[in-house]
Amino acid sequence: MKKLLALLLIASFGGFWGCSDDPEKEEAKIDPVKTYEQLKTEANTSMETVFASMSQANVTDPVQLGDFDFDSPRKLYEELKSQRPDDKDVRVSLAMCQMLSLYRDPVFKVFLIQLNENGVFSVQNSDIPLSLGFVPFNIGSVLSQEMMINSMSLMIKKGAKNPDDVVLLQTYFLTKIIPQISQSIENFEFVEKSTGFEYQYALTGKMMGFPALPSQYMDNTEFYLMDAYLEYLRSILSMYCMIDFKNSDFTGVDVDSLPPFDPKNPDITPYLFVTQKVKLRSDGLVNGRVFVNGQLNSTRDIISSLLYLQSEYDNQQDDVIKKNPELSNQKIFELILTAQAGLARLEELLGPVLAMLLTYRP
Amino acid sequence: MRSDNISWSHVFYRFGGNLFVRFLRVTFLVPVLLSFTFPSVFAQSSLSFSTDNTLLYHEKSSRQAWDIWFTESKLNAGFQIRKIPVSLTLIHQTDYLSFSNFQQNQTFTLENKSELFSTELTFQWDRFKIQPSGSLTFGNNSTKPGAALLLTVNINPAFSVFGETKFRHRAYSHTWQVDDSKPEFSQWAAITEFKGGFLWHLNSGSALSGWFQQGKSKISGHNQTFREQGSYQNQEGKFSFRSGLAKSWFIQSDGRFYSGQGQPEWLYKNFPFSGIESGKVTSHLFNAGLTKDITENWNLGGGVTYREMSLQSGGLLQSFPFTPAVIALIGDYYFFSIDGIIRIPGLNLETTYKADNWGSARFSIGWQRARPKLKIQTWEPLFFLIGRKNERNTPFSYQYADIIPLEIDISWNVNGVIIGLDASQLIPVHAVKKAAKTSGGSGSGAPVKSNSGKTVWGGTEVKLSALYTF
Repeated sequence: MKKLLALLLIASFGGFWGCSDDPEKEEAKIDPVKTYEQLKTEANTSMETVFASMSQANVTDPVQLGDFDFDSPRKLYEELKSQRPDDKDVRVSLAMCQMLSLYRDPVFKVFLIQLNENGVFSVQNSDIPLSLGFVPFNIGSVLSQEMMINSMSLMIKKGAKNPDDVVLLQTYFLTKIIPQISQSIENFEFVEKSTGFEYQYALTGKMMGFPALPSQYMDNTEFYLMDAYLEYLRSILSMYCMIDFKNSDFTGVDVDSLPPFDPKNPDITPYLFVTQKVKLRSDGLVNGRVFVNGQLNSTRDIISSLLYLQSEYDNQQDDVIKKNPELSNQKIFELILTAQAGLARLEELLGPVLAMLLTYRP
Repeated sequence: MRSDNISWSHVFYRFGGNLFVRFLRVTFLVPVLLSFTFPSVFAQSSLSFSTDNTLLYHEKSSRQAWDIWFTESKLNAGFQIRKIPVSLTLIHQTDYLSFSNFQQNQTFTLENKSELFSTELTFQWDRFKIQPSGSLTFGNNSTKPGAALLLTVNINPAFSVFGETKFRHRAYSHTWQVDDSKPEFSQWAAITEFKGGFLWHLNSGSALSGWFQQGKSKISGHNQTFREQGSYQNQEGKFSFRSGLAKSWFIQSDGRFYSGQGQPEWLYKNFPFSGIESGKVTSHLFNAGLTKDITENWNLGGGVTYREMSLQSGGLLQSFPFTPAVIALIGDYYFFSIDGIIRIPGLNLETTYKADNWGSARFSIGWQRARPKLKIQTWEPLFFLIGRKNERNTPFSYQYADIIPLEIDISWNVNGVIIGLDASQLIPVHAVKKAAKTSGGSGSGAPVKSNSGKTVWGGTEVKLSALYTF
């Protein structure tokens, strides 16, 4: 199975480097005669159609998300953004297209499969099952740090045993995936930080698969959650880009005996020990900071989402996430306190990583 | 998770159960009960009592139990005050639906029992072309007493070309309930209903009659933990034709249809947790046959029948009334889609005997083949309200079932009191499953004892009535 995945990975890279239809490099075929509003209508229709088809097909694996063509509306929204960068509808639509079109990437797909098969997504310490491949992820699981340590464990095992594969992944992540995630984050942050009247993004009935249903609206509560997901994803991918596995010597390190995640006493020291014995990449310090900051920012975004929900004063009957009677301000406040405690634990947990990065000398 | 028994049965009781019972009433009882009751005339004072009991389905085994039944009892007094016909009716109505699952020393029960005690007072001025009428109901729906007012206007245009022609318009309904020991406006229904009927005598032996009704209603209210609101539309109608042929033969045919649709919205503590695109129920019934008068008091008849009923609905439910707040935060939505239809062609034979001195008796037997198609899908969104994951399809395993319907109606005249007994029973004789295509006797109907100890009964209706006219 590992050989098959390696072949897939190499084939995917071959396809990428030799590929002539790379969506990033391909010029968007935009009709210059169309007005801004016409182009926006076309983009919205394209986005609505993709969402509608997504609501009709049963997705059993995150890899299937790649079957839905978010690249077409993404190109249109990119053109719209270049014309009017302050259009919030466009920024949110573009952010979601950039986030969801990640799954069309063949290497990202293989990466997801590997994470899933190695149990990274099997977070035990959670109220409901989690799959990072689906958005939004489970807040409780992120706060548990289990997924982060599982990813770190897998990364070290993979890097020690198959350094060439991980080097390929690192290059691809840094040049292709992480920039796209960063663009998506930037678009969400533009809307989150905007001032004035509350902005809401409409999810139409057609998008949900029932055209006659009235629209439901997303606001900062949802934008911050998607932002948190993307920060988390960028953090994990950046963690993969810290270590120079090719020039590191793993002699004497039994990567298979790394201790499993202990929810009662999460500890990063065993992994830190390994990282102390290896060399970092030339950009490892930068990527390490992105990893640490991404973990913290992800939790901060969850807190921002909760704070925004708590501060809302409308009746919210058509909001996607509602402040319903069971989610009173007091309960939200309790959740905020839980998340803040989680943030404090995370800062404590990642403190040694930051210290290692600050004191690292090649 | 809260106690499953309490929360889910509460919800089922309030919403799922009521909706399902409504569907059952529409699909099974409305075609039976619909009749040409219009126009209603209170020519004389009368006193009547009737009780209608329907056991739709009962099943009990070591694993699970089902019970679905309805009863309705009415005591009615009709009289006149200053030539204005008035009717006072005491009504007791019970709808009961229960499902129990017995698992490893634990019993999980979903139960819906809706009970209504009410007193209905109706009146009608009959001296004008436009007849205002109304009804005032004092009742106890479930646990809360209340009152409802319904105003109706009947219009009788003198269109001789249409023979007897009537139009009726009901336009207003208001319901109050007593809550926390004080009367409060709790629910209102804005009803706009139109009903028109006709009776044409084509010649001395032929007549064509029918009616059509179209209604719209909007239900709203407040002050209940779980409640329903929404807008609904319905259309229903009937036509019948009867004509005499040579040598005491008669031909008759009739058709009925019902179509109801609406967008119900369910609320918990006045906060909506559902989005139903639309719910639609339809029912069509067609009969055609020949009757032969054997003697002056005895006739024989037979014919073909066709009945078709369908249900479509879809939308989403949010789980926040039943799940911890943390799960509710991430938008815990469940989508569903239901699409079902049942087609029942059949044959029918019946005989009626009428005796002037004591009453009449009617016996009917038939054969029906029920062909159901049912598709139920549920799924969860991938991403807030978008996408589909964890899709589940619930297949319906039966291809068709053969049923014998039996009916007997007897009417006695005992010293001026007319006593009636109407009884019917559906008997399943053969069922074919889709995959295995095996035969068996399961389904509603006469009791079946299988090897697993399962007892099944259903499809039974017994109606008793008494009428005395002064």
